[in-house]
Amino acid sequence: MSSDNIELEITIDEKGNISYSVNGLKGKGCSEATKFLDDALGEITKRDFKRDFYEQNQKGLNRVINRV
Amino acid sequence: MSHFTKLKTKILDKNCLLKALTNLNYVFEENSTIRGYNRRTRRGNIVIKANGDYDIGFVRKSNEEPFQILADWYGAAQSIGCSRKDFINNVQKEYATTKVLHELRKKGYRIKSRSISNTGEIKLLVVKRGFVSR
Repeated sequence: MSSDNIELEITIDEKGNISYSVNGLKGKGCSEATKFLDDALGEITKRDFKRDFYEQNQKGLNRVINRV
Repeated sequence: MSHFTKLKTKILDKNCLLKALTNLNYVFEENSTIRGYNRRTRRGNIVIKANGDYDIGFVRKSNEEPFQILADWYGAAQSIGCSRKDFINNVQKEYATTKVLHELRKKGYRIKSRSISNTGEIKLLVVKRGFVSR
């Protein structure tokens, strides 16, 4: 058992299709944590897994939030 | 490991569709008639009653299927004041936003920021604290 924050960046395009990326979860947990979105919204058309994404991006993301 | 996912939106949730149509200021009736050319009609689960003689309907055969949009666009585009493409995009976008926010709140996510780009894209940043993974 581990306790983490999970953060989603979601984009809804002009046609109403959705893309999102997940930060803050490692391993299989990230697909399981967002399964509710996949199930609720429709059909997965593309999925990429990215390694070591979270650590690098956290700082940049915080800067953006502080500006908002 | 993180992931990046793309989803094609399907309109499956009737309550979210009704809410989206209300947000877009459309007047609708449930289980009504869709009026088309030459007074022909079809049955619709949800029907937008626009100005003029043409309506736009949402139909599906069962609750497990996504809604399809049904209209005689020859006259419906004029009735509703926008093209078929614009109407479908607007409804899909409003539905997707309504549905995403509904599902996120249900799971305890908090919205950190929300913005709309020049091209009409909606960006949401949401967070859930103390997520426990097995």
